[in-house]
This record gives sequence, C-alpha cells and structure tokens, in this order.
Amino acid sequence: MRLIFYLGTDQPKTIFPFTLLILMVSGIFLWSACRTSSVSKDKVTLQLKWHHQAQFAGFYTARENGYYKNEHLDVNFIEGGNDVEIAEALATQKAHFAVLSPETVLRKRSKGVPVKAIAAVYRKSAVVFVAKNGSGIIRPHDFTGKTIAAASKGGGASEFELQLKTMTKALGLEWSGMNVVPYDPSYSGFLKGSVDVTAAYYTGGVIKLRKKGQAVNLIWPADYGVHFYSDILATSDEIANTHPQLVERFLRASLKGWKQAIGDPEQTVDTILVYARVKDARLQSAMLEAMLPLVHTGQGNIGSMDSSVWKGMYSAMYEQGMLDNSFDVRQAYSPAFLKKVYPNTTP
Amino acid sequence: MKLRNKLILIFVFLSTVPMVTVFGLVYVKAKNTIENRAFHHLEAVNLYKSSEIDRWLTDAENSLKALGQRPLVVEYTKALARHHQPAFSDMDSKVKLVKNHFQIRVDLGRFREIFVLCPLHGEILASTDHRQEGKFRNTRPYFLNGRENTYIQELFYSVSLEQPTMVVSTPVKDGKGNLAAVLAGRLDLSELSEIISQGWRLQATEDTYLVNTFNFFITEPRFGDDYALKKTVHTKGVNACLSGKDGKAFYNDYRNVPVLGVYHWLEKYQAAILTETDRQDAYEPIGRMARWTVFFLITAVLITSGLGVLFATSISRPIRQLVVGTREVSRGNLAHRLEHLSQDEIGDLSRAFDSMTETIQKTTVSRDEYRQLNKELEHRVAERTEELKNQAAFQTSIMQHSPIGIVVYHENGQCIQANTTAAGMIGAGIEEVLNQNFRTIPSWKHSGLLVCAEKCLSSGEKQRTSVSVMSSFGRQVVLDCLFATFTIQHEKHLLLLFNDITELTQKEKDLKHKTMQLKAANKELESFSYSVSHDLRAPLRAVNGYTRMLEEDYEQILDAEGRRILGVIRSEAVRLGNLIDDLLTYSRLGRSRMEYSRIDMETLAQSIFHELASPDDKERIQFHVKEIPQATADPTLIRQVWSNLIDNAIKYSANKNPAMIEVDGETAEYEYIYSITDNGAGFDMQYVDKLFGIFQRLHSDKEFKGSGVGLANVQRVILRHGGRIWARGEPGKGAVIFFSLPSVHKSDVVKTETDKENTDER
Repeated sequence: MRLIFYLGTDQPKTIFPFTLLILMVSGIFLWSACRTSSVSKDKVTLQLKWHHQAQFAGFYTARENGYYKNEHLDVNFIEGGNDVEIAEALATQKAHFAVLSPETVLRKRSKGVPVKAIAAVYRKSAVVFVAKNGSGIIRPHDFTGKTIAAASKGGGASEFELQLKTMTKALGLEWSGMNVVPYDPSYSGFLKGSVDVTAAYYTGGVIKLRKKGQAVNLIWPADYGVHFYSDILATSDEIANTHPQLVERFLRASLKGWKQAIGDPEQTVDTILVYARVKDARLQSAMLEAMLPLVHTGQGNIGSMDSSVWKGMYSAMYEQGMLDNSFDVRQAYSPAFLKKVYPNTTP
Repeated sequence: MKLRNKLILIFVFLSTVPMVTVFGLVYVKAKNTIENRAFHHLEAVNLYKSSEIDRWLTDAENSLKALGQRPLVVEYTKALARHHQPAFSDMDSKVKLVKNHFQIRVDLGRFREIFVLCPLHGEILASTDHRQEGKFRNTRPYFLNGRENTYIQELFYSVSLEQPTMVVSTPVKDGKGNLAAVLAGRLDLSELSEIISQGWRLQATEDTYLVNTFNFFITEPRFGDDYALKKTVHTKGVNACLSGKDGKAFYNDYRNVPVLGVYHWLEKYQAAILTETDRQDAYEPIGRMARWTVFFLITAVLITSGLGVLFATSISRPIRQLVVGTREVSRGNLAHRLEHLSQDEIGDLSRAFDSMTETIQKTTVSRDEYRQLNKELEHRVAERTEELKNQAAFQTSIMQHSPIGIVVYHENGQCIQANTTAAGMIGAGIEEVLNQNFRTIPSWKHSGLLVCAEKCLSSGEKQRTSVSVMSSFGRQVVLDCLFATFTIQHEKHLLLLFNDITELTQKEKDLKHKTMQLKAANKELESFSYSVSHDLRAPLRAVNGYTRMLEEDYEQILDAEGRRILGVIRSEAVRLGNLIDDLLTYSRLGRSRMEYSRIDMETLAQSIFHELASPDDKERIQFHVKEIPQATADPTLIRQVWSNLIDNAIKYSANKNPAMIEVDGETAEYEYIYSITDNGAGFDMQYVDKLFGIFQRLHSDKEFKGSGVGLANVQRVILRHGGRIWARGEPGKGAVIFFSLPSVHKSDVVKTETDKENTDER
C-alpha cells in the first residue's frame, strides 16, 4: 500500500513506508525500554550480616554491574549490626533475603524459624585459631594446657567455640585440657601473651593481627576435619515456596556478582568502597583478598552447598547442644535454586 | 581543467596508484608473513612450554610414583599407616622415611614437600614439613584420586598453606596390591613458574601463563601484579581455550591490549596455556616497515609529483607559449618568434610554427611589398601613362604641328599616320591621306617616289629625293622627301617626311643665279684688282725710282725740309707699294688653285716664328706651340695664314715684356680648331667685325705698322678651305684668333667648296 504524498511540487514522494519503518523501530525501542524499566521490576530487600564491608562484595557487584537489573530486580541492602536480628528480618519479611551464618540458620531453624539457605557464599569458614609464631603451637594437639580465647562473651555459644569443640572432638583431644576463655576482638590478651591461642576470623582479626606486625601460626579447623560454611544466603520458606522464580533470579544475579567480584579484585574494591562504612581501600582490599579463597575454593561453583557439610554442621551443633530441637537438616537448605543457576553441574 | 594539471594528476595517479597498490600488497603480504611468523613462534613457544610443563609434571608423577613403589617406602608407609596414631608419635619409621627418602627427594627439587596420607582418613602421617602432620586432607581430590592412581590435582589456592598448591599423589600399594597409603608431593611451583617464564623471547612482550577452569590465572602473567589465583581472566583466547579448544587468535588480553595469542588446552591438567605477545610488538617490524614504506611512498609521491609537475610543465609551458604565439600572430605580430622550446615533438611544433610565422611574415611582407610595389607600380604606371599620354600628346602635337609633313606607312603600303601639314601640303584631307596606300598612289609612281620608298624599305637606308608634283590646287610644288624605315613589333614601317621646298628651290635658283652673277663680278673685280695693281706698280716703280734718284743725286742740294719731304715721298711710295702688293696677294689668293696635303701645323708654326722673329723678339717673346693636330689643307696658303697670324702676334705684343704667344689646337668633331693667343695690345670686341675686313685697321699705323690686309687674307684662305675664323680680345690684355679647318673631306665638298661661303662664328 502506498500513500502518495504531494508536497506542493509535481514530484510525488512516497514517505509512508519509510516513516512507518522509523515509527515501528522507535516504537520497539521505547517498548523494550519500558519493559525493562517499568514492567515487573520486583523490589527485593537483602539483609546483610554486618555493616557494609568487603564481606558482601559479591552483592555489591551484582547491584553495581546491573545483574539485579537484568533479572528485573530492584535490590535494596539493609546493614546488619549488633542489634540487628537477621533471621527475624527474614521471618518478619522485613527482608526477602539475608546473609547469615549457617549456625544461625540451623539454630533458628531448630527454633522453627522458617529460614532456608539457598547458597553458601563462603564455602570455607573464616574461623581460624591463631597462635603466635614461635610459640610452638602449630596444631590443635598443641592446644592442650593452653589458654584459648574462643568463648563468647555473653556466655552463649559462639561459632569459635563450636568449631573448637568440633575440632577437639574430631581429633579426640581432651576438651578439659584446654583453657577456653572468652574471645576478645582486641586480642589484647593474646598479644600480651596471656592468651596462647585466640580464635579469629581470617577475614578480620588475622588481618588486624598481621597488620600489627604479629607473625602468627594459623590452625584451620578445616585441616582437622571440621568443615563449616561461613556466610549463607538464605530466604524464608514462604518466599522460596511462593516466589521460586524470584529466588532463582536473585540467586543467579547474586552468584554472578560474586563470580565477577572474585574475578576482578581491583574493581571489586572500588565497588565495595561505594558501600563500605570504612572507606579504607587498603583494609577492604586486604579483607577481599583474604575472603576470596573462602568463596572460590578451587572446587565447585560459587555458592554450591554440600549436604555432607550441612550434616556435619548440624551434627556438631546438635551434639554440642546448640540446637533446641532436632530437625531434618535438609529443610534448612535448598539446593534446588543452585541447580537452576548451575544446570550442568551437580551441586 | 588545465592540461598541465591534468597531466600532473595523471602522472601522479599513474605513478602513485601502482606504488600504493604494490605497497598495499607488500604490506598485506608482509603483515601476513610477520603474523604467521609471530604465530608460529608463539605456537612454538606455547608448544614447547606445554611440553615442558607436561614433561615436568609427568616427571613429577613418575618420580613420585617411582618413589611410592620403592620397597622401603612401601614398608615404612605401611608401618605408619598401621599405627593410626598421630603420625608424629611414631618417630622411628617416620624419621627414617622422611630423612632417607623424602627429604632427599625434596632436596633434589621438583617437590616442596612429600607426605604420606592415611588411606582411610586422609590424615598426613608423615611429611617433610612436619607442621603438616596431623592435618586431614580427606576432601582433597588428590587424596581421593590418589588412592587409585597417580594423580595431579590442578593448581589451587590452599588456604591452609596460604599459597597456591599443586599436588601429585600416588597410591602406595603393598605386594598384594592393597593400598597402604597415599603418597603425595607438593610441587615446587617456582619451577613451574620458571618453565613458564623462561625461554627464548623474540619479542619483549611475549608471555605465557596458565589459566584454570575457573578463569583464574594459575601462573603469574608477565604484566600481572599478584594475579595468580587471585584474578580471573575472561579474554577471548582464554574462553576459547577453556572450552577445550586449541587455536590462535587476535584479541585483547587481560590488560585490554591487543595481542596475538596462541592457546592450548591441557586436558590432563584441566588448564589453558596461553602464549601471547602484544600485537604492536609483533607488528613492530611491519610498523617499522610500514613507516619506512610510507616515508618512501610519500617521498616517491613527492618526487613523482615534482617530476609530474616538471613533466607537465615541460609540456604545458611550450603549449602555452604556442598559444601565446598563435595569439600574437593572429593579432598581427608576425615578428613574434617562439624561443627554442624543447627538443621533443612540441619543440618541432614550435619550430614549425616559427617557420610558418616566418613564411607568413615573408609572404605578408612580400605581399605587402607586392601591394606596395603594385601601388607604386600602378602609380608609376599611372605616371607613365600620364607621361606617355603627355608624350603621346606631345608627340602628336609635334607631329601635328610640325611644319614638315609626316606620314607613316605600314610596309604593306597602308597609311597609318599622317599629320595635317602633310595633308595640307598635298592638298588633301587627313582622312584621305589615312586611307591611302602609297603603292596605289599614281603620283608616287610618276614622280619616282615609289621607287624611292621601295628602295628605302628594302635597303633600310634613308632615302632622300625631291619631287615635283601637282597639288590638288593645281599648283606645282616641289617636295623634299625623306624616307626612313623603322620596325615596330616586327613590322616594318615607312616614314615619309616631306617639306615644301618650292619656295626654297626657287630661292635656290635665284641664289644660284645671283651667285653666278656675283662670281662673275668677283672675277671681274679680281681681274681688275690684278690689273690695277699690276698697272699701278709701273708708275709706282717709276716714282720709287725717281725718288731714289732724287735722294741719291740731289741729297746735298736739298735742305732738311727737302730731305724730309723726299723721305716722306719715299715712305709713302713704299707704303703704296706694300698696299699694292698686298692687294695683289689678296687678289691672287682668291684665284690660286688649292692643293691639299697633310700639314704638320706644329712644326709649321714653330718654323714660321723662328723665321719671323728677330733675336730680340725671341728673347722677349715666349713662344709656345702646344700639341696641335695636323691639318689637311693647301700648305702654301696655310703658311700664309700662320705667317700673318704670328706676325700679327709678334707685332702687337711689341710693347709687352715678356710677351707670351701660345699656339693651341684641338680636334673637334668635323674640324680642327687652332688658336693663337698673345698678350699684346688686344682689341676692343666692339670692333670685332672689322677685324677681318680688308684694309680695316683697329690700330693706327703709328701704333702698329700694317696694311690691314693680313687678317683679311687669313680669312680668305680659311674660308677657301671651308673653315671658320673668329677672334676674341681685350684691349691691353691680348687677343686670341681662332680658326678651324674641316677634317672631313669629300671630293664633293672640294668641288663645291668654292661656292661656299661660311659665315664666321660670332
């Protein structure tokens, strides 16, 4: 069909098909733009475990690099803190997703809080036991008769103690032989010498101690059969059940973010600094460096969960009486979403 | 567009396009070659390093395997495993194991640490690094796989060791094939790094590194700063390789720098080995070459442009000059010449042009000249025509006005021209005359004119005759007819001139008559003179005689007066006698017969002077005779002439001292002219007529003696000869007497001479 348009001259001009084409093309662009921007962008809240820091690098990367946007998610971060109850945030649906320790997941789960882990961001625990270099304490067997700062201040169970106990048990060491004292984040006792071994996070305290110039021996629980995860990405049962695709999308974007974060530490530091409270590039960079191998272990995909690890954690906690009730540990985590994200691999 | 620019463009284009094409092709070829070479090199390096790694790792495997198969090792590990105690408790065998076998091996290199794992729990039972003892490695693939076969675990970061680790493991089996333990060795990765980093490098940016399946650098890349196991790389090369492919490509590397990359997938180790070099580096030779070539290209283009300009100019300039030349020529400036433009065809053209211009110029000049000449010619023709017209008119006038009748006949007899006089003379009209043919005129026949005419025509000589004809008036006329013939345009013509000499004839007749009368009278006179003089002589003689007698006889008687009177009588008598003598001579002169002969006038004059002049005279007088012609005349008479003339000269120059007498003469056309010049008394020209008169004297007898007959005699003689005589003088200064004698003598002339009376030239 051709509309002949007379422009006042004798020459007839055929503009209809051409302009139609332009209109169509621009229409498509506008439409797709609208789609991306307006239609079904889900608002999602992620509750972080602690203050903004390098620890949550992957999430920041996912947001900054537009991975969440690509999954049509509008993600909002909530910092954690001393007074923040992370699991509660999930339970109360204050947050859709949360980053929390596996211990918390299991504890809350045992209490009936419907927390469900969907990925293990830190597949290696950052918990490490530190002894002064030259102290001669190089393995857990050397802990006997030593003062170990691992207990929680409040008197409750700490994951340090949890892992120490698990390790002691795994090795068949005498628990009573160890003088377990509360964990001091300042490490003053340790530095002074009144504490022989202190628990610490590899991503935190160890950096601090080393920065102070203290050469240390690191005793990893993982070396002695104690395999714990660290940061877990979890959601509520309800969300997992009612919005599985949302969970999948969020997980995919988040894990992509983590992969990217690990792959380009330099860039990641910059991304972290966008959010981090402590705008110290060196500090954040050191933290990032330390945590990378805990996220990317060299085996398996980032975030992948091993049921044996969950079992082990559950067993340890249960044996140490840290869980109120027993339950099917498989309820605490769901590998389903990981399967969707990593379709070709066995999680 | 101007030819010059066109030529330049064509030239540059023709020279540049091939050059650029060649350059382009060469560049592409060279680039390909260099690329291929670079890739080949990279491939070689990559292959070499891959094989080195393989060799190294295989060596490690084999080495460990061999170690694990040593009987002692088997024995000791078995012992260790059996205990299942914290490994460090069983010192003995452990020490032995470690010290004797493992440590040695570690010392040899390749392995950083060699350790033994419990086959069940993966606990490190013994290790060359005692700190590792007691650790559990049961999750490690090298443990899990090492229980079955010799296994290399891909490089990973060990958090426990806080460093990248690569472990080789091998099962230690006893004789029965039961697994006793797992022997593991941690590789010395510095050796690996060395393999990777060492080697020949062609380029400065060449680098080889390994990447694992998680895209992490396994080995430190050259330009990386602590990348190994810390940073991932997702370049095209890496991704391609990690998908299991081998190949080569261009891509941007981890620095986002364009590189040539060769990648090889090490299946066994689940790693990608990449060898890269900066594209810039690899292409540096090309770059250099390209730069040089571009430089040469530009230079060549500039040169060719320059040459092109020269070439084009060398063509366009002469052409432009040709244009200018043609313009000049067309403007009319034919003198314009193109300078020598060039040696080539255009030069030929320019020379041809010049010669053409020259020719045109010449032609134009000659045309102009021709025109000019033509004009002149026309002018001259016009002039000449005018002249001729005038002449013709003049001639016609002459002819018509001529008192002589002029008639022109063609030899065929037809009258062509006649003048009115002619017509009048014969009493006919001019038309009548013009119609005549002389051959048909009867009177011509009668009168003998025809004969004369024919004679003239045939002989070509002038003919003259006189005819007596009857005019139409009835009058008898005598016509003096003169015929002449002339040829015009190869045609003979007859010219007839006739004059009415009727009167003249009559006059002639009368004259003849008169002359005869005169002659008779003259003769009578001469006779009379002779007889008188002769008769007179007798009484004179008597007087003279008696006077003398008286003088002689009666001298004493006589007184003075008487003597004087006697003297007077005597002198007078003498004088009378002289006069009579002279008269006699004079008359005689008229009667004597003349006889001609050749006379040497010069000698004659000289001798006469010598005769006549006295010694005193000779002293006083300078007498010169110049070279004078001989004459043909009567010697005696001429002698008389010279005597009289010289005598006169002497006489009349008596008062002068020195006196000069000069005799000169010359040959004229028909006569010899002689002169005698003296510087004597001279005479007044007023009385020149009287000079030659008989008895005419211009000086008194007292002044100069003489009878007055001398010059008369001379005149007589000269006249008798048919010559002329005249004189010039100035009183006191001198006189010149000229006389001439005819040189041409015909017998006719001689005969008719006596009838002639030539008048003197006055």
